[in-house]
Amino acid sequence: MEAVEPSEHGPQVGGAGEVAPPRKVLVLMRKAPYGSLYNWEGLQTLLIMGAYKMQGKVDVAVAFVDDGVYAITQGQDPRLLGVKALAKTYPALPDFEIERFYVDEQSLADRNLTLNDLVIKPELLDGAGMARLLEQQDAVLPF
Amino acid sequence: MLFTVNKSPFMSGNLESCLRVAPAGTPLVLYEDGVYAAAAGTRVQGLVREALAQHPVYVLEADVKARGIERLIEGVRVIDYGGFVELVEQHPVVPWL
Repeated sequence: MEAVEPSEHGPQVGGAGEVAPPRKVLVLMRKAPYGSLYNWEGLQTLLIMGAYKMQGKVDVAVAFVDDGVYAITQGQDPRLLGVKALAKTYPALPDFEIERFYVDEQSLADRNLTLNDLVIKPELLDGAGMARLLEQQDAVLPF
Repeated sequence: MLFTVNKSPFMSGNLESCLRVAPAGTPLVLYEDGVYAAAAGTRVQGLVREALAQHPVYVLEADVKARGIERLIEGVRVIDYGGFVELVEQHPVVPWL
């Protein structure tokens, strides 16, 4: 895995007639939703990536690790903070062709959470599973 | 003195280090991502229970509601912004940022 610009699946230049396979991109959510803007920015990135996915340029997945799991918990009501409930956007992501979601089992357990506490149903991964997922990526975008 | 912690206990050692030095009896306010410490049953519940034996522990209602935390550790007191202001008026504040 390379961080930013892997050449293997890089953009094709000129008219070779070959179609490049989609680059595998993982949006990695590791921050809680309201204490910083990371989570909001990650969501904006996902909505934009959806457009590239539709063009077949990228294959986008989302993983929730550490405090990132708090981004998708049910029952968020930030009206007193005067901001929008970020968790509501996640169930709509499949409409933008973002459909692959993963969550770190240990991060949920540490926070006394289960899949039933979440607004979406991501695939549960253990440490080894998360390592495999990361290994498959051409790029990882951390938020 | 009033100690305040605003970082998640899972991503920062701020709560732990604050509790190591906060004099017994001094109140502690958890706000912003600090409120995650007060959720029941998590990995840091033991730390917060120990804190409750030594300090009054408060959480800011707006931050708890925003994050959808449904069950708090028993003994943690919920305050609104007005309650936070009252505590700040009564004590010199030590923000453990």
